[in-house]
Amino acid sequence: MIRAIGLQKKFGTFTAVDSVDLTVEPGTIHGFLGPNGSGKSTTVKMLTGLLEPTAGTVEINGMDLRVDPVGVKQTIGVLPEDLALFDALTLWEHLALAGPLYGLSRGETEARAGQLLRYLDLFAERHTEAGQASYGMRKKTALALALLHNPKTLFLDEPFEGIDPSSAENIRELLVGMAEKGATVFVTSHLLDVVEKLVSSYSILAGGKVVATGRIGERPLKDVYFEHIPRPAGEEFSWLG
Amino acid sequence: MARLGPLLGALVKIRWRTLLGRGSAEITGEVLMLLAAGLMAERFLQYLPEFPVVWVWVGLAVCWLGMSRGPEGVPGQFPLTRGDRMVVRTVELAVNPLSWILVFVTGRISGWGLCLILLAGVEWPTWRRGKRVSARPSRWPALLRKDLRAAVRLFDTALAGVIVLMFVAYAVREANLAVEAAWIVPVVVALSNSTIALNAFGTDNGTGFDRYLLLPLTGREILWSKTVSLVVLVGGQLGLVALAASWRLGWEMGLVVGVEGLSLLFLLAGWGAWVSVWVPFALKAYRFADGGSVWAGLVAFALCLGPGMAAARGDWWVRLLVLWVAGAGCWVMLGVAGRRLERGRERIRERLP
Repeated sequence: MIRAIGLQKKFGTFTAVDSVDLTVEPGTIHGFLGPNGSGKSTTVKMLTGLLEPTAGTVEINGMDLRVDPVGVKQTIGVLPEDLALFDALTLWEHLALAGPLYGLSRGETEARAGQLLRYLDLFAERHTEAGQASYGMRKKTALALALLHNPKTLFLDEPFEGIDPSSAENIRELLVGMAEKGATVFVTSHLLDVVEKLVSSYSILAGGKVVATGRIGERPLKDVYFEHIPRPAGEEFSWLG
Repeated sequence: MARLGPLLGALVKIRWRTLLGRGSAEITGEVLMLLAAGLMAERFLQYLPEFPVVWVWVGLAVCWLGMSRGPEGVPGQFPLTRGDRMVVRTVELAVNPLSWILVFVTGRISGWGLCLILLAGVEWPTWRRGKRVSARPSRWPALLRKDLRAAVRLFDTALAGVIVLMFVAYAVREANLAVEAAWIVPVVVALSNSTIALNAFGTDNGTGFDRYLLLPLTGREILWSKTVSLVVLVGGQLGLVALAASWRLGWEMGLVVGVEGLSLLFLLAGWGAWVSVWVPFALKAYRFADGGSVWAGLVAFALCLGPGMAAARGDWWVRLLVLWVAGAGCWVMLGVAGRRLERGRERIRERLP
């Protein structure tokens, strides 16, 4: 369950996110869409405690993020924009570190970590240090970290960017399965086709404000998106091709 | 082979631009540190027989060159055969000015055969790539392992290790170990390690710091994990010094050095936690620390002199008082800095690349 009221973030005089209200119910996969620089990642950072909102409140799984940040973090999984990995730890060591911090036993951590890495086709490379791993490997590791403790709410910032098609399909199936069991999944993405097949509701952000919200199936997502986010004017590229 | 030309040219440029791009202040700092290391080496090595002298130099040279090379980066991005990679690594090694120093120093001291062994030793980490690492899940060890792994890639920490090594060798060799050395060395070791204590998040980068924030840990717990790493790293070094002093100068002197070391650890951890949160700055692997707060460093220097003076001239009650003050100060600082970490996380994050 995600509830944000009047969420705002200012950097100096620049307002990156302005008066964002959001409610995402359990069992829902919610798509958070918008062009580059619209404030999606900033919003995710505020919802997950990486950034302090200038104004507004965030409630996750019934807990106020400002009042009980550690309690909230126990119940959420996050795939952040910058992946948040330690360069000096191997991919496997990241998971070995995280499990016990979320209260998992050693055996359970190893079993879940192995299963996740095999499913994401990362098991063979698990002893690579994050600083030496490719972007896709790092992203899969960050995703495995987000899933390891079976969070009630999952925040995924561009989960399919830089991921190979078979792993992307596996991730999609995982997310659908989690939502069916009652988890809340919050996904930002630029890939409208992928989002349309995955999410059940969406919000579109532009200039830091929510300009549209809706449910999948009411209208084609592309129509709604381009209605609010106009495409740049056409150019004649006679020198291309 | 010709197709490797542009890549090799680029690697030579990268190596020299990296070296020259460090800026005069950083290069001056590194030269000063090397000078200090050289002077310390000269001070201690005069007591050693020829064979260990060579091996101390060998350790120093391999340590410096191996670390200065850093992890494999650009070449790993290209489709190179095994032979290509060997050529690239060899050329990369050959254009590194630190290689020249290594060859000159060890070649002059102990012959060219040893040079070849050393260069092979420098390559050893590359050959070990892909090895299996045992990583059992547990609450602190992975954070500890991460911090220690990052710390040993810093020249400051390596320098402290070399100083400890030299002191132990000095104690083993010299029956009349100077009492002054026993209390001065812990201060020098603590100061050399102070850069990592004063920049607890310096080796994490912004992304690593974000992971700390995402984990269900309070600010105080995060700083405790950093303190544990510091205790293992610096405590291990100071413990060796205390053991060596105890062996040569008696158990009472060992105890004096132990109390001094513990006080130094508390002071570094407490002051370091405060500075790390208030004036954080990034540390670069395979280099000496560059930048940071001058006043924070000066305060650390002044603080470290306290236990040193108490060990040298104080009575036992003075030493224990210093230890108590250092321990209580550390406890308070970790709490204050932990709360500050939670409130000021954005400011810290902005300072880390």
